[in-house]
Amino acid sequence: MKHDASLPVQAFRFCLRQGGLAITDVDAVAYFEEPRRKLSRQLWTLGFGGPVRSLDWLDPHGPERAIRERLGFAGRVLTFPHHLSHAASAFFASGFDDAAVLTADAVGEWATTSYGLANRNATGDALDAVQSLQEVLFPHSLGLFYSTVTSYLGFRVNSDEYKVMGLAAYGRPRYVDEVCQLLGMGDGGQFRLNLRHFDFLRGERMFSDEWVKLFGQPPRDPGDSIKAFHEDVARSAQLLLEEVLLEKAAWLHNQTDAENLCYAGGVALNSAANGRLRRESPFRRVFVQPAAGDAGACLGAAALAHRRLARTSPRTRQRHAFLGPSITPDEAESVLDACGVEGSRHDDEESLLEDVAERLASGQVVGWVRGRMEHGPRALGARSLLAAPFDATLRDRINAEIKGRESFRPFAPAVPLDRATEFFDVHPDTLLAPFMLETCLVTSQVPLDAVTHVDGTARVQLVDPIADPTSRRFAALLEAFGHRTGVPVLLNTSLNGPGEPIVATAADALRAFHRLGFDALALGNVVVDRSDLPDTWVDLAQSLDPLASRPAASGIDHRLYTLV
Amino acid sequence: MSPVNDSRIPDPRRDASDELAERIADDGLSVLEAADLLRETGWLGPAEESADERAQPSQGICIWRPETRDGEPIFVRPEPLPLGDHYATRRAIPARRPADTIRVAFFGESVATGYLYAPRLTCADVLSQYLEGADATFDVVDLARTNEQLGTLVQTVEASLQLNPDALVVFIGNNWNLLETPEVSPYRSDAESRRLVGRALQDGGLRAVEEMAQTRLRDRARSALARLADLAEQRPVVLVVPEVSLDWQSRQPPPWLPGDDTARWHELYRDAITALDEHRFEDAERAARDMKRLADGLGAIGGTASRLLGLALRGQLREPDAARALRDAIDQESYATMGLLGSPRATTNAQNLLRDAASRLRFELVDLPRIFDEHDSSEPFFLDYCHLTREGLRVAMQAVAASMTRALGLPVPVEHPAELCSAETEATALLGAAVHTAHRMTALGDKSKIVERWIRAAVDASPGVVQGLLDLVEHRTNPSPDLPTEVQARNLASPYRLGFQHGWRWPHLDADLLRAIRRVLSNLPEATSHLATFDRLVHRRALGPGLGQSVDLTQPPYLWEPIDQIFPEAMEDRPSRAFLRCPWPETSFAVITGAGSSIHLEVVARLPTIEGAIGPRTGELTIELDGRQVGRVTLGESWTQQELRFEINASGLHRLTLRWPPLPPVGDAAFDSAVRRLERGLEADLHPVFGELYSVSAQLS
Repeated sequence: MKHDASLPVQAFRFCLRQGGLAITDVDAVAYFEEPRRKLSRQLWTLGFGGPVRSLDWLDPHGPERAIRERLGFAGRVLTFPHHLSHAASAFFASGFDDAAVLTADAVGEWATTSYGLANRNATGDALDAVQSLQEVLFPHSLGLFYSTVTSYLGFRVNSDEYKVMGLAAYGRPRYVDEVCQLLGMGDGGQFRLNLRHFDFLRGERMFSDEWVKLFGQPPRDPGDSIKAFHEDVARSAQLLLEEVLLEKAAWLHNQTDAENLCYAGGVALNSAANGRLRRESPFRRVFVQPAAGDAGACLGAAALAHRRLARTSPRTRQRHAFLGPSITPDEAESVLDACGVEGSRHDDEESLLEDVAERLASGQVVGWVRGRMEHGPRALGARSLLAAPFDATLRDRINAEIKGRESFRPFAPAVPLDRATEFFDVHPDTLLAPFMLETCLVTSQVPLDAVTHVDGTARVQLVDPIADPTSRRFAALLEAFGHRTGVPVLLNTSLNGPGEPIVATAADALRAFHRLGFDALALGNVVVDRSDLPDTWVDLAQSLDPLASRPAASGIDHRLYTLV
Repeated sequence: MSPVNDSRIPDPRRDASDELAERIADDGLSVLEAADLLRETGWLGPAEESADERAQPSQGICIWRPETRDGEPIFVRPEPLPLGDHYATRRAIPARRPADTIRVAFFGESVATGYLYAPRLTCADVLSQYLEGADATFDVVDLARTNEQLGTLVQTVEASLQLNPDALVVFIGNNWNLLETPEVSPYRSDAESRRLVGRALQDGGLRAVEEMAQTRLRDRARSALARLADLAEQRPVVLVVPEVSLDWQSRQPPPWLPGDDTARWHELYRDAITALDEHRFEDAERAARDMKRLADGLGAIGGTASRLLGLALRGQLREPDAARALRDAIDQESYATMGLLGSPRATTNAQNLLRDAASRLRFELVDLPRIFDEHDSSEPFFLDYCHLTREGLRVAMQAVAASMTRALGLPVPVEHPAELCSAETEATALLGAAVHTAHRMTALGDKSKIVERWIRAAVDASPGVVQGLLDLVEHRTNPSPDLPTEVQARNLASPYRLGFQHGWRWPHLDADLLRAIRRVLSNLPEATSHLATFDRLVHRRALGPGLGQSVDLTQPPYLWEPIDQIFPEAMEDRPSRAFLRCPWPETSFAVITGAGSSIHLEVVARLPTIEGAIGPRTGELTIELDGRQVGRVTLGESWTQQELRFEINASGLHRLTLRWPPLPPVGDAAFDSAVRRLERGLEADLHPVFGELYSVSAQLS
């Protein structure tokens, strides 16, 4: 789990409970990484003399011991390579019979990028179903390249890379020559970082003095304003990333002659690059697993374990990401009752949708919380913050007052699949847009300023209640909003504050409502207006909310990327 | 196509790192052993001393930040949280001392904050009231805070000099346990600390660990107090030696004892409890002395036996002997965090360190053990393990006022304040004592009568507190205790305002508290109405029918003794496990039902593998409801899922108890195995775990 290195004990218990299983029903636990190979890379890195802050990583048996002693599991523990787990997470969720597979992130064990070929019907072991063709090894890494740019531009490494992507749209590619010096293209699938510009192996920061010389500007301090230079560097780096990915995809297609591409790893969350891959790569179809980062690699490891033990492969395409804990309407009401929060109870769905749509149409920002939570980094209509898509001032309000984000960051639109082409230049058959994983041009005749990025694109979410019945209610809300405004498009962002996880429970949602200052919360069948919160409740919430008293994140430094 | 790694750097170091990683993995080296290997082979430099992590000096004083108002420097704290926090509520403290005023800076731990009375009554308030009778005007600045430790105390004292105090009061010593020497704990998360403990155990057993902790504590305490004397310069310093409750119980299981002695210890424990219950005090004494003999030579891990002995001697009216045994128990229980969570209380060692410091550093000494002993009063001094009652606060602060004025050359005030606090405040504090007893006391035997006594005292102090009782029940039984509830809001507006200290956020039902409240309500004039309300609230947590309504009794609301877990697992901020480990031969849960219920229980459990045991363990788990056996299931070392059904005739709160099979007679091997793991820097338990529960799902069938 990103930013949480502890063993996911509660997630383990939740998964069993959700599946109606006891620990006695579990045949194997799959782990998404090979600890001894990772240790080899970590030991190799030690030789560069970088600071050693902890030695806890010197324990290749740690993950298995934690599974045995903390989860209490005594059966088989299967480990799979990090990038193979990523690859399997995309392939087995794609529904394809066969596909080329591309993975790219910062680093796993040694690999940072992998190319493979997967065949659902292959006989034999898991490793026969997803074969690795070639790898790029550490320290040469697209993820680390992008993270170093992130650090240089004053953002947090392994966290804020998406900000660089957002910033890139404002810039011009003035520094392409410079960024091309950072990363050299090799034969076939290879590429190499020019290591004299990087310091993550040795020092306290990601980039070297040579890097600073190359760009002729000091690194941006987190508190400094963003200038055209920063936008241009971001744009140039984004462009290089996209070009490298397109070239490697072309090479992979040439090697495999596959029609389909499955793609995963942290870099696969770069929706601008994904859009170009889908549109410009030689593959007919591109699938990205919605939890493409490390949080979703467990799915691949589990699929590989299933394949190894059962000799069969998962067959169906993942059509939604609503895999997390549920909130039933009864639970929501029970929590609201205990808190003395009245709100408007809606006995029928139409009435609820009308209430929320009316609020959204009048310019309110509404928390929309119902059903099972999304797995992965995107809120897709179960733990969402929604608003009308028209007015840029609403975007600015959400950025500044509710989510505490930089003003340059865009928001994504959600639209029913059957209306999408009225507003966006998106291919209706895309497998990425249901998960908000690609950007496309906004073509709407009605200005959609709140969800249109400065370069005229948007990271659109297509909502298809026929293919995915779990999104039926969200689709109905889009339609209800469309009836009022003529545009069935909503700004959809995750319901969380800066640096916080997305809300999971009804209690989380209520706390977020108090803390973040949006206008209304639709929780289950109840719509709560801000004025419904008792005054005393507001005081108390601050006392009880562990996030409310947390100091704001400050002082982002240029520390070493987390390599261990 | 075969995998190709053509970006591989031609680097012999890569082969070496591969080889080394294989060796570390194949040889099963621990983190520490691997680090040693890396140092031997030149991959790592020598171990560095850990950096001094003390906080940077700040311009503020504790949480009071510097500001300027009307050109005057002033220190301001954030708005107090509605449910309270760890600090005094005074918002602003001017740096300039008021004219013709003697300023006293008051430091200390939770006792010094007036815990369970605060913020409406604090030690500093009581001291101020006494000093009003002196021939001078005093300004007592309360800088005490809950969880104060020596390091932060010194920082606060140093920072407080910005307030130009004329005298200091320091009331510390109850937190001088593993809070001050956390590295001497087998449950630290870092491998180095585990190795430290493991090596001490290997060299000298538990006694060596205890001595190491005491030596470190002594050095840190002496150093901190000497620094405090330097900072005080010529100012008088009143040092208060805390006294603690001899009556508070903190039941602790023994670590693995040699051979079959662990099982024998538990048999004797059961015998002693039964004998005490039946007033056979000589038999109880015999069993307690046998228990002490079993733990002989193992250092101070014998608090429970000493406490049993004290209770047995008290039953025989041998009060001086009983007091000595109970004092021994407190001293021995101070290292309780070797196993289960203990209660912070000043040990004899801590008290003597303070007395010695007062003598060497010329502090004024307020020796509460002596003062309380000599004080003729029928009222109790303690609400719980160490926190003071109104009477305790009064006597302690009267002594501090006398000492302070003497040190300043002023006449000792002779007037007593009329009323220290309102009846409502008193009742709320007494209710807090009930809550603490129910939640934090691991009693030897039934504690519900003690809880009930505190609740009755609260009602006697102010009958209106009954609404506070019902508020507490309503909040504890609501589905999200971590959210502000309507009842909390209502309570905060009442004179019986409960705070964090009263367990507002604890997610546990605390069954003994609920039972005691019900019994007290049943004897009140409006019993029928109160009981109807109580039953309605509690039944919100009743079992429902069907799978969707099942509750897992291993989860926090239903644990009968919430802190009866191996130490780290009772803490919110420590790594958790997916299952419950049971450190006593029996484990109990609260079950709430309607009348005439048929219960379906599904237990997923196992017996942990124990080093040295011959063959896989098997045994029978006996299940009892309110003392009546309702089932038995056979367990082994693998998780097994067992189901049973039984009837419950009465409605309300029931106690479901699981009795585990006995331990195998392999104490030496089990203990040695734990020590070896600690020496390697791995997690280990020095205490036996009787059984493990993945889940106990209960529903109406």
